[in-house]
Amino acid sequence: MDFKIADILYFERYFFTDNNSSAPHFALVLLPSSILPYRFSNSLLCAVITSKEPKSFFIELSKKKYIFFSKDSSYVCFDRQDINSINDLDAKQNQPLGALDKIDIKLAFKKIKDLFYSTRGKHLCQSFKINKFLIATTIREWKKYL
Amino acid sequence: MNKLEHIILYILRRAKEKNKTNLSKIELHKLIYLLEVESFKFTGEGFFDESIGFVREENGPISLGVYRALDNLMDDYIKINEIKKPDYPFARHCISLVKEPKKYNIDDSEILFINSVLDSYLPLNIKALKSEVYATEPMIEVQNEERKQKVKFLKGKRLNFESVTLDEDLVDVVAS
Repeated sequence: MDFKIADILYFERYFFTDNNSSAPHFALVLLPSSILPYRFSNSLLCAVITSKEPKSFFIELSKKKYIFFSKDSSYVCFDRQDINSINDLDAKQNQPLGALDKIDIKLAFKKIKDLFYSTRGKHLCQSFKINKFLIATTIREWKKYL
Repeated sequence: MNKLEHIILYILRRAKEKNKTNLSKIELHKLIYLLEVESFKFTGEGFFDESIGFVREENGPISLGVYRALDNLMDDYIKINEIKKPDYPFARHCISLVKEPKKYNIDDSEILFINSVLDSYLPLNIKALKSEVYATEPMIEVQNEERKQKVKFLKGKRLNFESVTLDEDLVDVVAS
């Protein structure tokens, strides 16, 4: 199953790379699954979506627009990225639950660029270091949706 | 095996997955050329080192580095057959994968970028691929020079990748 940029998914078991824990969670697809290296086949690079407002690098999504959320406001945290298995998606739901609209894609793209500017050289998740080719690929792929 | 050789094998593998069991030499040169152009556009630097050296030929850009790599890969990893395809009246030299390396010597982030570029260009037929190549800055620059000098083509003229404009959103990331 292929997912594309800006798809919103619900994982029955979302794995957090930073503390090796997992929990049910919404997440946003950051790169199309079809372009990930083979060792990540059947996996997705995602940003977690939480109900707690983060300090930076986020966009707010309202329940009015994205009716599948349980809280009035949810937040895509672009500085919390993880590789997750497609097998851990909630099979009881039709995936993706939805996708960002054009306005939110533009906002998301701006935040992603801000994040890259601030975090060059660091690891956002264990699998991918923020380097020139990750930045290049992300910009190249997100621009297709603007 | 050097990096260019690994990348050629990887391109052939990716093409095979997209139901292209072989690529003509012309297609392969154009895909590698476009990978280099896209790298200049989205990173400001080349994907390959300078030994790739693309020069102007009658049918577009060719690279001596790619020819050398194909020679090195012949027999063990690739085979080249003359194949006639419906989009061209004559048979072309087409390259197919015989064996893959145990491990590709390409970083994960480089593979992401290669996949992104190949997904844009692999589905195109040779005519469309040629249009994409001729619309790039290094080819426009050499064609302008050819018009100025009133010659059919500047055979062997080294193509200037520094003419590729950096993507405006990449400029934002670098300079914001």
